Amino acid sequence: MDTRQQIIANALRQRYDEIRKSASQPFSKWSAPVAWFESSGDSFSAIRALAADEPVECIETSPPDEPVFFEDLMSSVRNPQRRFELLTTRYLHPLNVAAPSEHRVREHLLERLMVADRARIEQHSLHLLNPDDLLLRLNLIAIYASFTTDLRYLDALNYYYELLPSDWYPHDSFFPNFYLRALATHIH
Amino acid sequence: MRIGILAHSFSSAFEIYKAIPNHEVFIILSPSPHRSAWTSYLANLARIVRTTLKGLQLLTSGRLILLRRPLHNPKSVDTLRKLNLDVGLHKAGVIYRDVTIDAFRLGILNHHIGILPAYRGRSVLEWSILQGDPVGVTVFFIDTGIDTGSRILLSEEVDISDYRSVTEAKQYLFSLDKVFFPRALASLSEGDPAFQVNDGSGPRYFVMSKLFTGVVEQLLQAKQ
Repeated sequence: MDTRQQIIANALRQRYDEIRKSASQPFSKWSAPVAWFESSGDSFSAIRALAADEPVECIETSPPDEPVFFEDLMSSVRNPQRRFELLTTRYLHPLNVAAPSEHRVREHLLERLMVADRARIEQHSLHLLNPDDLLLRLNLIAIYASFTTDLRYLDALNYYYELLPSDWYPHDSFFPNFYLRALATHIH
Repeated sequence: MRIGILAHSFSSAFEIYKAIPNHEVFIILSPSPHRSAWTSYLANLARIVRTTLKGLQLLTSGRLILLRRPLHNPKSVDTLRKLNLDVGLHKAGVIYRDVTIDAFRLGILNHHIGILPAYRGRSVLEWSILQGDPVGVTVFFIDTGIDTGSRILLSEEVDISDYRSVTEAKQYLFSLDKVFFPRALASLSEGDPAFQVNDGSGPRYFVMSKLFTGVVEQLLQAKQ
């Protein structure tokens, strides 16, 4: 590990130590889908199970159509309720957000979080955002951040951790658990 | 060539104006998106009258234009077209629409403090340092995307090892517009410049967290 990597790892370790007081650990290893994972339940139950590090069945299948979904997602940028429904329907198995087919979707979610939503929160308009939609997108980005070496995704989590008031998260937000896992994968 | 410097404040545009004496230069001030159009207009007018004789001279000679509407407004576009400008120099904090870009014969040049196509978007100096990549400047013709304009005129690495903080290093790179814009214009004046291609393949970067900005500060200091 060179000096640069060491400095990055030290900073991430410090943040990890800060968060682990409020999140569960340790974690079993996740596998990213080669194409797509079959799903049998609902998105919320699967997110809850992943956050609690409970086993989630991962059976490979072929991915659903992406262009139509992406178009629907783009057209719902000003309709958080519709976006929430689209995302929870597509990611019944939340690890599918890390599937190779989802590149454009991930970039879109990251951009919305780091441009439009960030600006609104910084202009003291957090109350105008739909918390379910915001948390779902943060959790999906956090799940992907556990798989990728692209630091932009991890840094979106860093940014939101610094941005959102600590008493804002609902009890069942799961975000600290996913963030902690993402930090852990970048430290080790 | 006829050059238009597009800015929100007179002082930032005037620095560039002084650096390109060999061209016919106009300063075009548009309202800041963070202020009302009238507040912006009056603030600029007051600053010009109060601080610089040169500003007044430019205003009276028609070389300083204060737009009362955003750059994409049809009246603003009409004003730009009537100036018959060859090139615009970007100093305004906006993303341009096609109608504004098309009002310039060759387009609008941006002085970007990152190497394209690898580093698009915000905080690219910080991201370059964090990822151990070269820091530098790219001058390119913008389009309506985020640093996706395909014609790169200049792209060079810049040594920032003398700077101890991100703020200082950033200020230094921004101040180089007084060096890179004149060089880019010289290259255009010579005719038929060889453009490098920005294929837009690099990811778009975003504002950096305090955690990683702290890392970048440490990395800068470690290089001293």
